[in-house]
Amino acid sequence: MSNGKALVYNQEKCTGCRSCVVGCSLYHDGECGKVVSRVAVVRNERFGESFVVGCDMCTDAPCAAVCPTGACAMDTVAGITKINAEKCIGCKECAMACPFGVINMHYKTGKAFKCDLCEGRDAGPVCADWCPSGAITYTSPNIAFKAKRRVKLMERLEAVKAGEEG
Amino acid sequence: MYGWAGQRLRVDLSTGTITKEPLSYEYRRKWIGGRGFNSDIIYNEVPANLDPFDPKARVCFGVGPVSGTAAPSTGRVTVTCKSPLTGGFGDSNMGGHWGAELKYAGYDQIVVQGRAKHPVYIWVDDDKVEIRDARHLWGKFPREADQMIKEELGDEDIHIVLIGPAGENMVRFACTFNDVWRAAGRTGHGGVIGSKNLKGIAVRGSGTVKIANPKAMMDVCNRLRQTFKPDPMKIGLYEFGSLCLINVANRDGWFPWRNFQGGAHPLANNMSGETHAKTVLKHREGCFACPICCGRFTHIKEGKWAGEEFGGPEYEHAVPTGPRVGIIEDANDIWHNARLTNDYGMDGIETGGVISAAMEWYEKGLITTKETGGLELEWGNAEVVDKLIPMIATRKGFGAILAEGADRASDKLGLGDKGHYYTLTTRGMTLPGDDPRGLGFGYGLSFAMGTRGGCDHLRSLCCLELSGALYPGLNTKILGDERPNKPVTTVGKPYMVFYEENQKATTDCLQVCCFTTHWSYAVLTPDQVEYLNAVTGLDFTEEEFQEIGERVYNLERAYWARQMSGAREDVVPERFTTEPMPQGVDFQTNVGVVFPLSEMLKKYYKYREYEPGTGFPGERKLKQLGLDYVAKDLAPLRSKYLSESEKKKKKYYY
Amino acid sequence: MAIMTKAQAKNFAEMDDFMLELCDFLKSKSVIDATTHRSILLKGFSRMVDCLQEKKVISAREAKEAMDKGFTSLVYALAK
Repeated sequence: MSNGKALVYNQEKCTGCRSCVVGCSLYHDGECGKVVSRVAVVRNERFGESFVVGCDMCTDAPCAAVCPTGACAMDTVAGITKINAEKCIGCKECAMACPFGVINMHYKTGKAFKCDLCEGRDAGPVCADWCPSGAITYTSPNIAFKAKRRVKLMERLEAVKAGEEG
Repeated sequence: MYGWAGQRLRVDLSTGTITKEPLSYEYRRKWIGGRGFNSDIIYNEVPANLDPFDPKARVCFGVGPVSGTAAPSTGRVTVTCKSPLTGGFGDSNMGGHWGAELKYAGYDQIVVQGRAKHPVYIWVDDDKVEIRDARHLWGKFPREADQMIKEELGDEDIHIVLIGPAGENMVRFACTFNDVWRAAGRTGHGGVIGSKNLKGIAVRGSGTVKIANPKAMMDVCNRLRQTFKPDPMKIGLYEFGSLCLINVANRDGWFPWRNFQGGAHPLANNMSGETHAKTVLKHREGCFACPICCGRFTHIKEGKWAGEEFGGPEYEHAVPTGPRVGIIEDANDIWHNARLTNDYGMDGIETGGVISAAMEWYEKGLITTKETGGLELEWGNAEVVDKLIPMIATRKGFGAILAEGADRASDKLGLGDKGHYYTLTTRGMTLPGDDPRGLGFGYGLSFAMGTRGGCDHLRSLCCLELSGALYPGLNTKILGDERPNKPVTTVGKPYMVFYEENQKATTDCLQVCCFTTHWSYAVLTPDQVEYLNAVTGLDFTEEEFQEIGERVYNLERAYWARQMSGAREDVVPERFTTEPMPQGVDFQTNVGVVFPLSEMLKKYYKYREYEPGTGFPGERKLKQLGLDYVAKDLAPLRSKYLSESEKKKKKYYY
Repeated sequence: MAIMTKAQAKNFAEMDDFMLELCDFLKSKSVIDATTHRSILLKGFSRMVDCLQEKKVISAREAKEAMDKGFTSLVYALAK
């Protein structure tokens, strides 16, 4: 994350709306659908649970490490791996190496495709821009984690006050 | 093809035949999709004299050209049938994600007809369509059946429409859901689906929606989503759900207390969105592509219902089996009742309506424990309501009578006109938790004139008189006048209702959520035309957009006319036009108000060009809308409606 | 351009629900035809204002005032 920003996910805020999914697919592919989105939403509707699964911008990225052709490689300026479709041979090794299942094979080309932080978009990644609840943010991780520490601490102190902890 | 999938799927459960019917350009241009496609099928294929539970009846699930796209809130589905509750035209609308999935699977609509020999469900897997055994699912709550189907098909990411036990038992106001909890509540199509021995429809779609002009689409969708960020209605709905309306309802006297005997209560805040968020809110949820995310997931933490959880409730789902039946002290009873109507699969509004009617009959001495089988139907008796909801769903004891809907129940119990006074229905369907003496005179007019059985807030959702005040200048832009932005006035309401009904109807054809265009006005008609054209590559205008709504509306009105329902039935329950609103709290704003329907009705007829005597759609208007065949159908019926024998009939349902 | 008297304007200004009557009046004076009459009812007040400005029945300033202040300002502009 060289420009200081990364995609930071706050799972407890995800509403499962898939605004990220539909925005991503439209921006990158000019059509709308889950199968051409670089971000996914997983839901357990029975329990009201929703989770966003997006690229975690690994610094030591397994997807790049396993790529036999160098198609999947780190863009050090953006701080994220990107896939060069011309070099990609569609072997699926990156998709299988990703610990989170973020990479998929494109239905039109059979080649791998993944998040590229919406390269070329002035306002930054569509998913973070459109997320209605703040489940996806594009921000400085250190600032995000500091804020999270404070929030979590306040919650714990409230619980102590309410006599729920020991 | 851009936008549309270009075909409808027709499943005949009697013969097992599955057909895919292409939809021509002319057809798609005339009806757009969703509610438009559905209303057309029901008008043409389900005649006036057919029993809604007959195997020949149809039930339709429709989505539109922008369903599954990046426009705001594009997951909705319209479900349409001849209503077993009213006997007339009926439809309902549900959120969730099934609608987008249906589009990705490659269909604009599913039409189901016939009756299977035993319980089945339909599995739509892109172009592969199967009818599968559902005997092991019959009797299950939607949340159970959803899990079982996902395990059976080996995919947790599919989307499923389901009915509950109430639909299987053909309760006249049974409903349907997708994604377990997102309900299409009204008019009883759950019973029609159950009558076909159909448990549900599972869908998996691996396709995409093709966009004619992706850059233009990105521009308009992005602009709208930025507009939503600071939008006051979005903020309120996101934070507190539609329950954000409770305290407003209480102040403005539309809070339904004891079958609308009153419009406000000192303890209303017990069930407000604010209180809900602090006590039982587990998750906020959003339907497909929604920038608002007003969905709730509730988990009861304390009291005798601790541990229960469910998706919802909406305002309209919580109030009928809450304050409408006199329950307000312990909100957990209200959440629990909402869980019950969800699990059993019944319209919360009609369930609360029928129980509150029975409670008022009991209060007034029209029935006693003899008729109720020992149940003491006192206002606020949470124990009795908890017993009664499953009894209605499974048609046991007194529940079997109530399962027929309030007006039929009244007749079954021999209560005469007096019984009907307390059912609070128009054309056989009751009103949601919105008292027209407070919510608005526009709403009240909408109730009388609604085309899915009256008493219906969602036919116009004319929030220009409510949230319209949050958008300075909006009423002037559309109506030419800011004065209509107050609920308790007749000023400007006839035109407001006409405009909003057309707008809402087309919104239901595109199939987007009307909370983006009513309640919140972040999206206006020109924006919808912009994204519709960006998706389809066509050249719709604002006039054509509104005209399509007008066309659909007239078709639905004609459906009622065919069943001899017209001007004489354009009423709201007498309680609202004769009983002055009593005081419930000292800050209530509408004490003493009665609802003046007749002042607005004549003017509204003129906007609609309904025939003054019959209330039927005018012949000139029908022809202008390309509905010549409808004009032909109605021609011999106009004089019949005005005949003495017809005038004598008291029609509470059809 | 005056297409109605001040008395007529006052009559319109006092109406609760004016759209249909005003459209009918404009059509009776041949200011708008049947197609525009329909278009206005479908689209709303802003269409009426735009149309009257296009036809130079009201000025740009009067049109803006109509959109700010509503129909009462418009009918008095039509009576000038």
